[in-house]
Parts: sequence; C-alpha cells; structure tokens
Amino acid sequence: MGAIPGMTTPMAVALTLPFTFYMAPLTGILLLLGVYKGGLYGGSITAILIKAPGTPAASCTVLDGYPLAQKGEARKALDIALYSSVIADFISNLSLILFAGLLAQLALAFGSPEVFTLIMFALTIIAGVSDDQLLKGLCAACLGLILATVGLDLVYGTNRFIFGEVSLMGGLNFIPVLIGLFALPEIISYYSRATLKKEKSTLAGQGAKWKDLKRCLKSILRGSFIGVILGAIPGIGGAPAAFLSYSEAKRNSNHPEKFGKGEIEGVAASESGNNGVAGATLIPLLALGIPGDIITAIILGAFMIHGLRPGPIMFQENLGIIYALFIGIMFSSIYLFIVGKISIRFISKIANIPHRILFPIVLVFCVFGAFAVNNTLFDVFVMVLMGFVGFGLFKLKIPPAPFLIAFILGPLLEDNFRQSLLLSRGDWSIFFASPICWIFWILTCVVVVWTIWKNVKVG
Amino acid sequence: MDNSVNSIAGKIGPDMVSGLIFIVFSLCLLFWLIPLGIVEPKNVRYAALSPSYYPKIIAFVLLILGLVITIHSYLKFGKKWGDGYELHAKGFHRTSLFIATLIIYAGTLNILGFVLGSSLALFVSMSIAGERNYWITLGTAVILPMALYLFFLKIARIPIPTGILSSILVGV
Repeated sequence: MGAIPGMTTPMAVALTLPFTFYMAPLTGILLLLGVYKGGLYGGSITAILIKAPGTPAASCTVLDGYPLAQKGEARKALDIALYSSVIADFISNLSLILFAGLLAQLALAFGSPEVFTLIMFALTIIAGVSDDQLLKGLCAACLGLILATVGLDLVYGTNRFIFGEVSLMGGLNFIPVLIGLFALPEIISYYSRATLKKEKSTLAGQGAKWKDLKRCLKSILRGSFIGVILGAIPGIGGAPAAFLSYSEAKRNSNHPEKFGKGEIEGVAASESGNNGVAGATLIPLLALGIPGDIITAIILGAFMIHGLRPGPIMFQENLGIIYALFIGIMFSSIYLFIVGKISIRFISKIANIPHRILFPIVLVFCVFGAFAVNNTLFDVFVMVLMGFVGFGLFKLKIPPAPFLIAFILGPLLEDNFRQSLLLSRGDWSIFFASPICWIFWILTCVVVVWTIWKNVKVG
Repeated sequence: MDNSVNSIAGKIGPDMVSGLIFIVFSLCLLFWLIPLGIVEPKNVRYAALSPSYYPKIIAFVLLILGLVITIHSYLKFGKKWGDGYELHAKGFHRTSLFIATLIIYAGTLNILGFVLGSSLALFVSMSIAGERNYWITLGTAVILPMALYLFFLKIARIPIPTGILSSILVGV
C-alpha cells in the first residue's frame, strides 16, 4: 500500500483494522504492525523509481534515490533502502524492548518549547539540501511555511487563506503537495526535452554489494538512533527523523557534495531515520498508553477492541501478551527483509520501462493517488497546481526540497511555538527554560554559523 | 533562428526572476493576502498569538531574502542581467500539448470519470511522447485505468467517480 502514491500508511492500517476484529488479539495487533512497517518501507519504492514518494517520510528518500535510479542504479538504491529499513526497524524494536521505560521518561520531558527548538534544529537541513542556492532555498522554505498555514487557526479557530473554499479549512494535505512538487515537474520537464523519441529508460542495474552496505552502516546506525529518539516523542513522526538523519549523514560525510546527486548514503540515512521510528512509536503507547500519531491511535483502538488497555497496568496484567508482542515485532523485521527482497526483484523492473510509456502511467497513478487521500477532486487540482509550481521552481533553479521540508515541519513549528507562548502567557523566556531547549539552540547556532562560514569561504 | 529559441535568454536570468517573484509575492502577502485572508479575532491577548503574526514574520523574511537575491543577481551579472536559459521549439510545443492535456484531464474528471478520463489522458500523453506502437498505447490506456479502478474500489474501498461510464461500471 505504501508504494502507491496517495495510499498512506495510516490509510492502509485503517483499512486492515476491520480484518482484525475476528482474530486473536495478538495476531490482529501484529498484522496491523506488519502493515505499518511494510507501508513505511513501501513509501521508498515509488520515491526511488518514479519520484513520487508514497509517504511524507519517504520524500527525503527522493533526494538521492531518484538520481540513483536515473543513473541506472535503481536496484542498488532499493536494496540499500530495504537493508537500512530492516536494520533501523530491528534497532527500533530492540530499543522498545530494552529501553521503553527510559525513552518514555525522555519523551515526557519534551513539551511544546522543546519540540519547537527540536524542529528549529531540524529546519537547518534546509541549508544542506539547498547546495549552492542557499538564498533561494531559504525563500522556497518560506513559501512552504506559508503554504502550511492554510486552514483553520489552531488557537482561535479563525480562517487563514481559505477565501471561502471549504476544502481548505483542514489545510492542504501532504500527499497531493508531495506528488505535485516532485513527480509532476519531472514528467513536464521530460516533455520539454529537445528529443525523446528514441530515448530509453535507464536500467535497474545491479543490486547493492556488501561494500555498499558497509559504507552506509555508520549513517544507518546514526539514523536508527535518531529515529528511535524522535519516534518515542509523541506527535513527531517519521518525516522529521528522516530529514534530520539525512542532514547529519551529509554533515558527517567526506563527500557532502555528492548528496542530492545520487549518493547511496543519502538513501540509507533517510530510510533508517524513517524506519527507526516504527518500533519507538510504540514506546509511549505501550508504556504510557499515549498514541504518538494516527497509526498508533488506530493500534490503540485495536487493543481496546480486544479488551486490552495499553499503559503501565498492562505490563502487570497482560505480561504474556506483551512478551508475545515483542517476539512478534522482532520477527516482523525478518519478514520485512524477506518480502522486500522478493518484491525488489520484480518492482525494480519498473526502471526498465521506457519513459515515454512510464511517465503517462505515473501521471495516472498520481491522479488516482491524490484523489484517494480524501476522496475529493480538490486534492487532484491541488496536485496539478503544485505540479506547475514545482515546474516553475525547476525552471528558476529553485530547489524544491526546502519547500517540502518547511511544508512538512511548518505546522509542528507553528503549533508548538504558539502553544509554548500560550503556556507562558506570552513570555518568550519559555524557549530557554529547559536544558533540552538550550541543547537544541546551541546545535542550531553551531549549524547556522558553520553554514555561513562555509558559504563565505566558498564565495 | 535555429531550433533552440532563446525566449528569455540573455535578458533576465533565473536568479533575477526568482528574486523579483519573491519580492512581489511577499508584498502581496503583507498588503493583500494576509489582511484579506486571515480573520483576526477581537480578543487577542498577546500579539505573538495572533493568527497573522507568524505568516507576517515569514512574509517579511521572504521580502528581505527576495531583495538580497535581486540585488546580488544584478551586481553579479551587471547589465547582462543573468545567463538566461533555453527553451527548445519542439520541447515547448510538446510541453504545451502535455500541459493542455493535463488541465483538460483534471478539469473533466468529474464528467468523464476516472476510467474514461485516464484512458484518454494515457493515450494522448503517450502519443505526444512519441509512442507509435498502438498495441501498447491502446492496451495500457484500457487496462491500467480499469485495474486501478478495481483496486481502489474493491480492495481499498474508495469510491472512484465513474462519470458518464457509471451505468456500465456499476455492475463491475
């Protein structure tokens, strides 16, 4: 499901929920977790092959995955995405089993001001994905932040940029914007080429070798831990983890200039960050009974349907189920590897389809996918409009990634900014009140100063 | 004039165009879109909590960045105003046709439905791209939208609009 643009992982989990009603509690919950993990990985497949990320978190995988596919290394990119996903998932599961209590305690220390500073730090990745177009990248990020404000105001419930259109009240959905910004400009720019009649698609190429995985291992481990920590904090999700992991991998790489142009480490970093959250999102759910996102909320529903109530009491009353769940979760990583490995062999063949056939097919997939998000034609129009915006950005050499990052992180940034000020009754010192805030401010300042210094040096 | 037509080349480069667009857009935001599009509640306790506070900051930053890009671009390229870019005549023609197809496709989805609309869009866009094997174009145009329709309807349980084919597709 995750591999189909528009069919989001929460949608897949929600669709599977009714099937679990007649299953044993453990089987049903493990089925939902399997769908969740499969969906997370599945999002990377279309991101790599057709530049249409199936999930918001997979949009980071596009940055290096699609250029690799263009270079004829789609299979290698898919393999590394799978290995990274499986390793990160495994580490995330282990963290859930071994450090649930500790991580839940850390998650509780994250209030609105801490999340705000964390997102500020995550936004520094914009400098990383803008390359030599830093100013334009920052402008694109401003456009993304503005677009993210469309909808009802969180605090007062008043209209913002709705202009009488009811469909805009809930804000713009990620998926049509994602597809429009990445997939459509690629298709339009294909048609604008001088010659394309004899043009053939690049082949899927060879799979990843051990030396490729070895080269990426450091980024995978780093990304996994970023995913685990961010996954344990309710409401963060996979996209910030993927972007932060990518940013750190680029900063620590010996060849940062290769990122964004088809660097296998970029795929590994984003996928490990993205999948590192999978097991960790269960930490607040199982340890505290708090669902961190939509998916864990659905899983919480499944627990309750079967008469179980996640939280500290469950560890006393249903310890058998908890242990069985842990064992099942560990096996899910192995199943993810097996299913992914088998599917890559067939899915990578998509890269062999000539572009003149593939791109029109992708267009139809995008239209169906955009509609499926909310069952409304409005999202299709948003996707088409964003496609033109994306094509405009492409022609003006404005990097689209900062736009997207800001659009995804924007609501988190603003919501936590305003919630913090509500808590402090307008006192800005709340953003410097805790050690966690200070850590993220210092990290943000270091990255900003380093970026400016680097640009001045290059200039 | 050869095959490549320099429509904007040598006059205004991408940096200058981008900078000007950002300036115009930020000014539109500050003086038109924010005052008109954001409803301000009467009892805002702190200025920073106002619904327009955050968008105003972003618009202001965008304005400054737009000015910096424009000035930088002008100083960098002097009177040449940038390096411009090329549009190929054939590519331009093909792109126009594709964009027209895309707009018509999206605009008529409600009437034609997803199956018929997608079939036509597939056939036309593959033909524009130069695919001359009609077995492939027709086969894909018929099979793919139908397969997607059945997947979304039967597996994902999403009611895909069928438009004028509803009487035929309702029994599928």
